[in-house]
Amino acid sequence: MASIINSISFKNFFNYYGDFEDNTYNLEEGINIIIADNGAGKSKFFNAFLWLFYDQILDSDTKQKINIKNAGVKIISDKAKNETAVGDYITCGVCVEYTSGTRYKYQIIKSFTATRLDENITDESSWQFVMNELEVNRTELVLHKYKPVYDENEKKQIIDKLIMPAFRQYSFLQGEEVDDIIDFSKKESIERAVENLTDIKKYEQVHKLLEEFKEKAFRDVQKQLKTNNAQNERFDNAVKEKEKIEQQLAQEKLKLEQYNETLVNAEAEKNKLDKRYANAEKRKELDDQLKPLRKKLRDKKDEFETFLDRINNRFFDGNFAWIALGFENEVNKFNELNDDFLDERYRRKTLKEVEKNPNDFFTVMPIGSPDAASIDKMIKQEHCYVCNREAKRGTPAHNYLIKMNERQKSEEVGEPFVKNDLKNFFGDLQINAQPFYTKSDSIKDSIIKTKEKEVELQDSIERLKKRIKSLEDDRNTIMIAGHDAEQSARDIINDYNGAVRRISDAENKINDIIVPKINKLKRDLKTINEEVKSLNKSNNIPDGYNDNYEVLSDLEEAAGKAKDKVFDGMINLLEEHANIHFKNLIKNNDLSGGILKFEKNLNGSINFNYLDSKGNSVYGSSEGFQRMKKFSVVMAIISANNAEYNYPLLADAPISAFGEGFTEGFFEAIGDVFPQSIVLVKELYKREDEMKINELGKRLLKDARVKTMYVNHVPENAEQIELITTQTKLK
Amino acid sequence: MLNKRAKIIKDILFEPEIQEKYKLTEEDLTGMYRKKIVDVLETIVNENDNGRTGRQIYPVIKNIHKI
Repeated sequence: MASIINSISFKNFFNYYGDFEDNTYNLEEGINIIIADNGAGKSKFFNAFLWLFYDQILDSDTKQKINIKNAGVKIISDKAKNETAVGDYITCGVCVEYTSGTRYKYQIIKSFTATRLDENITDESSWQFVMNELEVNRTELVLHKYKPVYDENEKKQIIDKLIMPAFRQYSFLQGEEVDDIIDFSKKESIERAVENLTDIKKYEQVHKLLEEFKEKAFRDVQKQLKTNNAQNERFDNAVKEKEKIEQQLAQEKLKLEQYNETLVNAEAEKNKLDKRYANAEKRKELDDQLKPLRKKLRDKKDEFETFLDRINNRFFDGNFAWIALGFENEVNKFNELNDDFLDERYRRKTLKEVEKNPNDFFTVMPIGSPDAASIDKMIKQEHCYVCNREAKRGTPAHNYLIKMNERQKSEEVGEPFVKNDLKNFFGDLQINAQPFYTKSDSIKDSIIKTKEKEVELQDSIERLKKRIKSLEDDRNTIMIAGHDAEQSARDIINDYNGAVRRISDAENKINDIIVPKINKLKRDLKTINEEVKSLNKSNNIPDGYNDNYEVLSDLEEAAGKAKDKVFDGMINLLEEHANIHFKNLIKNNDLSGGILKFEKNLNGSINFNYLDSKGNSVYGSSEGFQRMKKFSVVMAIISANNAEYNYPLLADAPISAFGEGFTEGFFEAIGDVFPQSIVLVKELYKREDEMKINELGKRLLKDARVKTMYVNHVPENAEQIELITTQTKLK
Repeated sequence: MLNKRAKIIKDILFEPEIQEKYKLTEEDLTGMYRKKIVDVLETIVNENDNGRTGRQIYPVIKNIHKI
């Protein structure tokens, strides 16, 4: 009779702004996947279940679980808070509907009301909180209308039935928490698992009672002997010897306990370091990815700066000539004006000449006619060949010839004929502007291309920034998850080796010295017990006392062995199941087939190792791999259970450290173990894709085992008070 | 399928050493006549389930041996 969650809805819960109907995820038996990028409501979704089961939420800043009563202002949607007027109130809640078996359907609503007291919205004291009564409703599946449940015990039972408290730790997991659930170096961890799966507790209780009764029976026999006054020296000696051995045994057991403690501590340290070592490795991997990206971002930013600088030049650079944009018609206007100017200038110049010397102006022969050599000849021979008459030295005709010869020179030193002669200025303008106006046709294209280049650069800077942010987020998650100070790799390795050495020392001491000694003392005790028993029989006391002691001694021994058998049997079964799941989980990876090996320690804890194909332990693998190992055990605990597992798996990003091969295996494996899985995952998200999912996401979408798939969205670059999560149902 | 109580009793009584020593068979667990060892273990298991303490159970066991 499995519990299947039909839907979960939120009301003003974190980014899930709006009423329950606006934020409902309908879910089905089988695999349900909710894909969301960082900050798009994944952990918030998971928090709803924390609230439902434990009245807690996980504070994402401190990674601490806090009571819902102390979380008030944090968990209400900022947008909703902002829209609530002072004096007005707002409700925040979660609602889960589930069916159990084929008859009943339940609805559980947890909520509170907050009244706004003043303008400040983020201050705890600005709101007054009232926890609303837990609302639980029930209906028969054939009916549609819910009826409220009033009895508080029944309400609790209905919540418990969704996932029984003892199994929540296996059913309800959040990324790194898998590490804490399965820490088999801690005796309690394995005991808890075996307890949930077997009646080992009962065996222990019966064994303990039998130990107690055996002691009582022995004392009864002694009492009878004394009252019968049949003191026997041999019997007394045997009893003394027995007590001595028991004392020694107690001492050795104490020693064993102390060494076990050393062993447990060293193993715990090693395990902790395993994770840190893996974290350090992962951190390095992320840093390796970040470093070139950061450099690339710097380069791109420099490129952008240079690009912006160059935009200025494009206005004045003749190759681009942007400044000429819009001046296309001015060129013609300038030409016309310049022509007018030149005409006017020449006109004025000519007038000035005429005014100054009208005769010269009209009689001076045109320049170049006659040529300079002919004039020279005419001056020397004192004869004008133009009009063929004499021109004697000193006569006006001879003077005229000399003047003609000098006309070029006199023109060069001509007097100014306008106040400011701008001919050269306008000429220069024309010359300088020429490269610009010849480009005017291509300026628009050039600007468009530059704009495109700008957008392209900005886009690639944005993309780089996002990629860096995402990697930095991942890096921060590791740091917080592992409470990981920036400890140097060398320290980690030293501590790790130290712990491994202490484990080995303690194991040697326990296995080679203490345990053999204990075994010898146990054998001695058994011999002496036999002797005491046989001496008893020869004494004249009622048979019942001897029988009682004998039966209880035998039962005590047998109960101890039976208890160990049950425990060992379950460990073997878990190992077998864990290996099946592990193989499924890693089948899409390149790992060569090793096996998971559970070895029982003397203190009852379990050494949990991954052995490669040659039988060597593999240490310090990546965090994803470590988690995958442990997740195999979680699934083993569930599948090794005789009865069918009846509860859904609620998992928040359990695969963030796994890698794609593992992720695929994970989705295949959970389908076989859990009747329903609700998995919140970031790894399938792809911003650039139209559907916002990556290739694996698309493959899973087609997989018949995947029943529903949602993608969460948040608006890009939105202010906190505008931040809302919306969802698209892909399947 | 055995109920949990019967399974614990059987697991303990069918430990090879004790089974051989007391010559225990399936019938000993179900028959009308109970060997004392079976009676003692059944009493302990049942009474423990009923929430009785060791101090309360021990006299009952002594009664079985008529002491």
